[in-house]
Amino acid sequence: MAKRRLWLDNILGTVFIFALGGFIFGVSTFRIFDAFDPIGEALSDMELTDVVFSRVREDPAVDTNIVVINIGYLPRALIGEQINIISKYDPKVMAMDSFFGAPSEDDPEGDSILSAAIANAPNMIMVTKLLQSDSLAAVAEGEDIYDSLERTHPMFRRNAIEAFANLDTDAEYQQDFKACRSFPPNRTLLTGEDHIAFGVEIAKNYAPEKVDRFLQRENQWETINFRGNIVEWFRRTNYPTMFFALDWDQVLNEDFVGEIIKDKIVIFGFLGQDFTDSSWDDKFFTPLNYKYAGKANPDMYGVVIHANIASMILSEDYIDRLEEFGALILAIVVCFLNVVFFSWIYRRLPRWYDGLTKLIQVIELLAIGALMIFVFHWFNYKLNLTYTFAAVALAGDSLEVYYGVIKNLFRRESRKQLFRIQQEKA
Amino acid sequence: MRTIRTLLILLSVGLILSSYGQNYTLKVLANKGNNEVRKANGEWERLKTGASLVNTDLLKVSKDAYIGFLHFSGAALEWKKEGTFPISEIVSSINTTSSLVSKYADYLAQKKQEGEHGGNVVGGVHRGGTEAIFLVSPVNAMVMNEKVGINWETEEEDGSYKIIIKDLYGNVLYEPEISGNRYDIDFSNSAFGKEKMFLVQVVSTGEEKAESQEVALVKLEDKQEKTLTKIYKELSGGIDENSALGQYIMAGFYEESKLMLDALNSYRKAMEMEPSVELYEEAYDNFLLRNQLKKNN
Repeated sequence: MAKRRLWLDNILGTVFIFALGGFIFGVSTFRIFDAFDPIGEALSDMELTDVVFSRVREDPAVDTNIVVINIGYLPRALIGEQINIISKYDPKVMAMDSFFGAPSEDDPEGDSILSAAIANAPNMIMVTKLLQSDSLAAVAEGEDIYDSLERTHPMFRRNAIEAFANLDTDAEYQQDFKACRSFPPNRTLLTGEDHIAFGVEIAKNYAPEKVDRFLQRENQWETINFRGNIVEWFRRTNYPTMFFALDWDQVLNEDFVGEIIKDKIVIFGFLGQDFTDSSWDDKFFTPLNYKYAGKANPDMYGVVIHANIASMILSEDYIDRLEEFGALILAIVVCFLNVVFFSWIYRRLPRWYDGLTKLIQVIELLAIGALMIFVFHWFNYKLNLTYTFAAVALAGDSLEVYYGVIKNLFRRESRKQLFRIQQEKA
Repeated sequence: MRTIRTLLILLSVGLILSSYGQNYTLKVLANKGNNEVRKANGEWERLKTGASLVNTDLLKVSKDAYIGFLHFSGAALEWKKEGTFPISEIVSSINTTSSLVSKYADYLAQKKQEGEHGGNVVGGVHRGGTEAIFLVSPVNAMVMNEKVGINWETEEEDGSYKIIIKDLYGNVLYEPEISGNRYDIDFSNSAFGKEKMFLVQVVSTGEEKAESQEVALVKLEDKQEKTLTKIYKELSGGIDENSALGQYIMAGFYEESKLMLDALNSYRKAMEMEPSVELYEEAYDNFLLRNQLKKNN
């Protein structure tokens, strides 16, 4: 009987810890304490595994299969000229990370040049963007379902393949703070049309068998195993110069060796007014940021993120992750084990309870953090241990509350004692 | 006769090096600024992205320029310093084996130096202190071969010394005592177990106590070892390692792969095999100067 009660306490203690954790999370959802939490704000966009990209991992090798080209603020005629020049050198795949709207009356010749260049380019991939129509947004805003696409004007996508360039960030709009660690490999619109991601389409046109294997992973979201950045003037990134990069003028002046283009992937996109531009337009925070926690400058242009996605697929070097359900089960198991151990301390060493449990919790939290970092570093496996962290952090004090308050509330003697004290006071 | 022999050796070196597959030392990944390159016996030309550069090329870097390089080992390097540089000098700044162990070895070695010299020493290569015993080695040396020789310079002739070899935590693993000023460390010695990182110091056992600086020797990690072993096998297939020339060529390979102690050993072997050929002694001296391994007097 006593043993059964013991196990019941352990189970109920675990449940209480999760309930308390849920309540705290609920309160934090309303962001009541954000104003008093600058540290939390600074760390909110950091994941522990960012440390691996930023500080721990071995230097990856340069990927010479991909060339990234800056279109800067060039007018359409000159972008067309860039495409024509690059096409001469026989790339295997060309991709354009930019939208082109309706032709303008101001520059019909420029529009024609660009239109012809895209139409004549081999294997040109143009970006689209997954969208929610107003009616869908009214009922499902913020959810990962789409029913429409933003596309480049038809004049500028003749003979081109299209793929969506959406990335996983918390940004509500383009100019918002954007931290990017993952992307959706493919999506199906509510209309039934299947679409794949821009980086995936690029890789598909270069090594289709690798993309087949990649898509068999059937992940809704893929963590990007970043290889590196391109030329980096302002030291905002670790691992700069991991791809060939050409500024807009270097293409127009053909200031490059042709062999870097032949049979390679070429991705056009915005990389600033030129390579020395410090603007934040279309720039993201990634785990490669030189400052991986706290205030930092965004470190990577969107087009380079797509280059990293393609590079990851071509090298078949993926990051696996513990799914939500698995993370929850693990948290429950770890919490339960903590409850069993702490309950034993509570009964056998009551005077030592506070100090011992705090010490054990600190050691556990450090060990969990180290485990996350090194499992990610050694096995490319992302352990999602947020729930476990929270359970361990709450275990000691919550269990004390459970035994000291919750259990006593359900004991008549204890309740009587409480009311007797109140009556004496009165 | 000696001149003809030297020329033949140089010709052989050139042919052999060009035959083992690498047609560049550095390739330009990104280029910004008015930068130029001059090939051997050529004119200055505008540097282009994608250009292949070899050790004998000269690079002129303009003000506020940026160049991103790809080293043939796959490592990347940024260069922003203005001036004119031989490619070999740029290559020498690349860390091609920046693993966690190597980073820690740098940190430990640097800390040791700071402790001994009051924080005045900068950089990973020893600039030649004024110790009574000078261990001819970089402060932090990656090592490929299972056996590597260390030598030291000292004023005392025919002294006796103890070589103290410790692990990462400062535990002494092995401390042989010898006479002379050279010792071959055999990493297959059971005393070293599976350790990959060692701290080495030489102390005298004579009446006058003296000790050398402490250096860190780090065995290559598996991935790096595989890559370099592949290149090594291709290279050694075309040369006779039992000849001075063969050792001289191997020294070049080791130095380019940043394996300084292995390079030093090969240069020394080349000198010992052909003591009458000045080329090897000059090459050895230049190697020491280039890598700041000559003791300050």
